[in-house]
Amino acid sequence: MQRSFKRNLGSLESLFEFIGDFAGRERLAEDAVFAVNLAVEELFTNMVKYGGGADEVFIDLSVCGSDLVILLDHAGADEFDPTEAADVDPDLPLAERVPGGIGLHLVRKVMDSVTYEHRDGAAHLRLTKHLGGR
Amino acid sequence: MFDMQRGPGGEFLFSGRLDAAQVDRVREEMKSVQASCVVDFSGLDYISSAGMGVLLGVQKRLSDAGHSLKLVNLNRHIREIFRIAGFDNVFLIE
Repeated sequence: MQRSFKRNLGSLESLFEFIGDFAGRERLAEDAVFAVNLAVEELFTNMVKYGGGADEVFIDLSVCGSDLVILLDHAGADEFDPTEAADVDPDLPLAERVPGGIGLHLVRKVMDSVTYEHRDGAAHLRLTKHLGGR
Repeated sequence: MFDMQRGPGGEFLFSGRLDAAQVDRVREEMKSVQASCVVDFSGLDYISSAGMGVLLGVQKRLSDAGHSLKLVNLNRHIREIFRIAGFDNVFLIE
């Protein structure tokens, strides 16, 4: 399933509906649906806040064999590789914690692979998650 | 859809989906919290890093004054991402 979304936080409601429709069609398990919602929201929100570029983000959800595949394409985006962002240290005491960075850390943990490419002036993110028994 | 209410004991009752579009409301309503407080997640289906960041900010502010947030009734998905982020080390979670 493919669709473009306006690059603002007001799109989140329709983005979750889109994921829900896909999950229903593919009969995804609750764990997978939660992971997709989280990963897509975190990356889309990053594109809204920091990405620059076009005012729409293209999203493609598919199942390939036993893997869920998510593509996010953002034309004109600034170069920023989320796969190179620092991991959160889960053992840090409260006083040393900052809110930033949690989202990308979670994306990398709930998905099996996250790859980034900046090509032809656009950011291309590809995420996969092994579905097992879905 | 996200909603937050106050329970009879002053606890916060979160429900629905707490995403990045909803966090301003949470930040605003939790500004007034000055003492230890419970946040009941029993109706909450989903949270992302935006909501987690707001709760972390409240926890840091309260901690400076010797208080804390207690988070209760997290579903297993939310409990897992809190564990991944190490939030189980900085919040009392029941």
